[in-house]
This record gives sequence, structure tokens and C-alpha cells, in this order.
Amino acid sequence: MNNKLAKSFGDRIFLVVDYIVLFTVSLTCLLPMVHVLALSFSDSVSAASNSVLFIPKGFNLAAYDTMFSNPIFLNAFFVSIYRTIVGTVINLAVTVIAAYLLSKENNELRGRKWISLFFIIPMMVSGGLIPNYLLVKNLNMMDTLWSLILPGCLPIGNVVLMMNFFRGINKSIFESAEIDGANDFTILFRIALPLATASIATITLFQMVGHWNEWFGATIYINDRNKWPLQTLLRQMLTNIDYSSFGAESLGKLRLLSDRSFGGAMIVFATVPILCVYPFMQKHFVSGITIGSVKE
Amino acid sequence: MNITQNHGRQGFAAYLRRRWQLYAMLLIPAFVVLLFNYVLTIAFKDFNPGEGIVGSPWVGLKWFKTAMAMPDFTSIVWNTFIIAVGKIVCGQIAAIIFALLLNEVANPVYKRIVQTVTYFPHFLSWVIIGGIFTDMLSTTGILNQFLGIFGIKPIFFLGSNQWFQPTMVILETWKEFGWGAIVYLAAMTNISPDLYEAAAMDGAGRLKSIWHITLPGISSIIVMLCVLNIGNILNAGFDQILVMYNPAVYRTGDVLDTFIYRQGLLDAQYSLSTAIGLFKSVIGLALTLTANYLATRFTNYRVF
Repeated sequence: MNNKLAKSFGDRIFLVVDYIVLFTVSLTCLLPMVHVLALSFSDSVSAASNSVLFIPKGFNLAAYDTMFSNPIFLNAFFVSIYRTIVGTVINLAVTVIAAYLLSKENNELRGRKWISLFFIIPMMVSGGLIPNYLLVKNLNMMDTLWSLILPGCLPIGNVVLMMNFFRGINKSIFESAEIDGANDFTILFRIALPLATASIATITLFQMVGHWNEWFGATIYINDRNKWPLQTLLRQMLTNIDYSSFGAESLGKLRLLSDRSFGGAMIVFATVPILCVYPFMQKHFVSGITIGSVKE
Repeated sequence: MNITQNHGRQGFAAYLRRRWQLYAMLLIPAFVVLLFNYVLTIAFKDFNPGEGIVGSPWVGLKWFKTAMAMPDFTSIVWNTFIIAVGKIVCGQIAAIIFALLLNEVANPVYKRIVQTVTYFPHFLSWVIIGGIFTDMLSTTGILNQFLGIFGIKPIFFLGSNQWFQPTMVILETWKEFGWGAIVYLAAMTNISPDLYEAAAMDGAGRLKSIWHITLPGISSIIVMLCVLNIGNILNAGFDQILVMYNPAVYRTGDVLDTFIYRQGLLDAQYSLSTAIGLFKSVIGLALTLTANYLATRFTNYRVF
């Protein structure tokens, strides 16, 4: 293992080009965010005249000030938080139970074949938008947050991931617990779950991000804007800023503000929470992706 | 009690007494799936909100025929197909090249920084990405300013039928290439370092060892992902297109999902759009099953 083996000239050029290409590629991922950040801190004249690139011009906080003076944004933020927490807890509970069941062998869970078929079919054939919409309507869940949480609370992909993890646990651990008289509830909660903390952390983070980012549901299920999560509000505001929801005081400020810096501020506001959990996710997501593909 | 002995014709009652907890657990997920996933009948019915889903009369394939007869239908299917295939092909190629380049980086800090930055867009919603890029891609936006330096006239990326499809494909590729590379990078760590040493001894340069060692080393993963992507060739990306399209580009940008959304929810044509949704679903199912069959046949992959 001698890395200092004389590198050929060609190899050196290759490495230099490699580093430069990767640098450029990373830059293309970073610069759009920096541009938006710069816009959000710029004054209206510079923003509207397209002279802002990556450094704010005429630095000010008017966009953020206006945004936070309108209660609808903070409200939407808390709706998003609520929805993310409740939604993730329910997702997790159902996912873990389904995955534990499906990880059992045929002789342990009689009819496993049929049960797993029952779960796979929806993964392959989805009813589609309209049946879901009508169902939510007929269940009287319109205008409630349940319409965003309950449909799709069993993501089959995550079930498969967890199932594979449970299958990877040494069977003799379960068997010895059974001999000691443990029933399946005890085995699931006292043995399988504690062993699965890492993969549970992974799917928890995925589901949290999924809930945070989901915006479409509320546009069709919820008419009351005060119940909208942040992403839905953002989508609507970016399409056309509705000034009627602003008080007289903030309308005065809005005149000093361009739509672009205001849009930028909203985008930054919705991105920060993701940025906060990102470091934790990074620790887990590589393992999360590879667990699912490991087969015995 | 010997656990391994209970495969036989042991009484079902005795089995249940010992294992009833499993079936108790089954109740919750089964109820959820039953309620939210097994409600397809509406497509074959002449839906009337007053009579409810069960009460409306059956009309067989009427709505499927209506859908097929619509003048726009062919072009919508075609748009869906082009955008989806473009995304699969570009996305895979970009992810593979990126993984190959990243794999050659020896400095762990540099590698980690590049990964951190390039994975990030994957975690942002299309509302956010759409918000950023509708601004950047406008005729006066930052990208056209940049192109202006080279004397290129402003391009209306999101407003012209010529540019809309490539723009969708490139944006999706940009958002996902870093994330898509993870699988390939994981596969590359399984390649034995001995092979690289032996090749270096024999005088192979970096490019040669990429071509003759790394690429063959990940070829089975590449085949697997290509096969699994067959199931996606009617998924053009609903969120993205809904956020970024506008009536000016319906001719090239309207895909099955957005069409279903507009017909069904904005025009309240429930049965028609459900039928189109089911059409998409059935083709998707056929494709997924084919993909899974091919995957089990030619690679070691199995979903269940």
C-alpha cells in the first residue's frame, strides 16, 4: 500500500481536473441558495433591478420584519411543526408494527403470504388522486390536519426497510425470549425495537423531512388558510403574494420591499429547519439507504 | 415447548392462543391500508356525489374510451414519457459520473464537504426549489445575465415549449445527482483495493483503472437500478411540474398527473380523471412487475 508510488503525469492532471470539476459542481448546488439568501437581505431597488448576485446590496431586514409581523407565517410554521411531529409518530408506529409482522416466517405468522400480498398490492397499484380526494371528503376529514397525516401514513418503502432490518436480527434472540415466556408484544417492544434504534432513527428523519416538505395535500384538502402548513402557504405566496392578509402597518413596509426579496425571505424561512436537522441526517442516511438493499 | 416443531398440523386454536398478539398487531396497519388503499371502484362507476361511491351505477369501460378519444391524450402520454425517460437517463449518468469522480478523491475532508453540499438539494421541496429557480431562470434572472456575458440572447426557460422539457430534466438531475450517487459509492467501497494496486503495478493510470476496475465493479448495481427504473417511465414528477409549469407550456409540459389534477379537481370530472389515473396505474404496475421479474432474473435483487 504505497500511495507515494510515483504518480504519472497523466494521473496528476486527472486529479487536478477531478478536484476542479467537483468544486464547480458543488458550487452549482450552493450558489442558488446563496443568491436567494442575498436577495432576501437586499433593498427593493437593488433586488428589482437584478443587481444582486451573491452578496446583499443595501443590507436590511425589511423582508423578515414584514414576514414575522404577519401572524400567518408563524402560524403556518407551527402547523408544519405539529403536523411533522404527530405525523411522524403515527407513521413510525404503524410502520414498525407492519414491518415486524412481515419479518416473521410463514410458520410463525400463518397466512403471511396473503398478508404480505395485501400490503404489496397498494404499493404497486395506487388509486390515484381523485379516489383519495373523495375518500378524504367522505370521511369528513376535509379542513382537518388528519387529511394530511392519515392517508399515506404507511409508506411501504419504509416498511420494507424496517422489515429487512428485523430479519437481519439473529433469530435465536427471539427464540430464547419465547422460551422464557415472552409474547410478541414483549418481543417487539423489549427486544426488536431496542436493537433497531439506528434504523428507526433513519426512517424517523426521512419521515420528518417528508412531512415538512409535503405541500400538495393541503392545497386540495384544506381551504382554511390558517390551517395550512408552511410549504403550502409558501407555494401560494410565491405564485401571487396576497396582500389582503397583511395589516395596514406591514403594508406600509411592503412598499419598501420588492416581491423578490420577500419571496427570498420566505424561502429561507422554510429552508432553515431542514438545515438544522441536516447534520443529524447525514450521519444516518447512508446506512439507511444501504440497509434496505442487504439481503441474507 | 419446542418452537421448531410447530409447523405440523397443530390445532389452529392452540396456535392462535399462543400467537394471537401477532394478529392483534395486524389490525392497525391492515385497517389503515384497507381504508386508504382499497378504494378503486370509482373508476368503473358513473360517480354521483349524492349517491356516494357504493351507490353510483357501474359503467364499465366507458370512461377509459372517453379518455382515449380525447385529442390531447396522446401528446400528454408522450410528454410524460419523454420527461420521465430523460430524467432517468440523465439522472443515472450524472450520478455515475459524479460517484466515479468522487471516488478518486483521496482527501477525506474535501470528499465530505462535496458530499454535504451536493446531497442538500435532495432534501428541499419542489416549492422551495421552484421558488428559487422561477426567479433565476426568468428572462432577467441570474442565469440569463450570465449567458448574456457570452452574447447569448435571453432564453425563456420556463415559458417556451422548446425549453420546458430539457429544463425540467436538468433541474431534476441537478437536485438528485448527489443523492443518487450514494448507492454507487457504497458499491465502490466493496471493490477490493488489491485490484487497484495490481493495476497500478502494471502501469495503469487512473482513467484506465476507472474503466477496467471501478466500472465493472459497479456494473451489477447499474443494471439493477436501470431495471428498477423501468417502473418509473410514466412518472414525470408531479410536484416539480405542477410548481413550474404554466398555460404557455401545456403543449410540452402537461403530463398525466397534472392533467388528472386539472381535470379532476379543478373541473370536477371525477370519473374521467380517475379512469386516466387508473390507466397510468395499470401500465405502471405492468412495468414494475416486468422490472421486478427482470431484476430477479438477472441480478440478486428481490423486493419481498
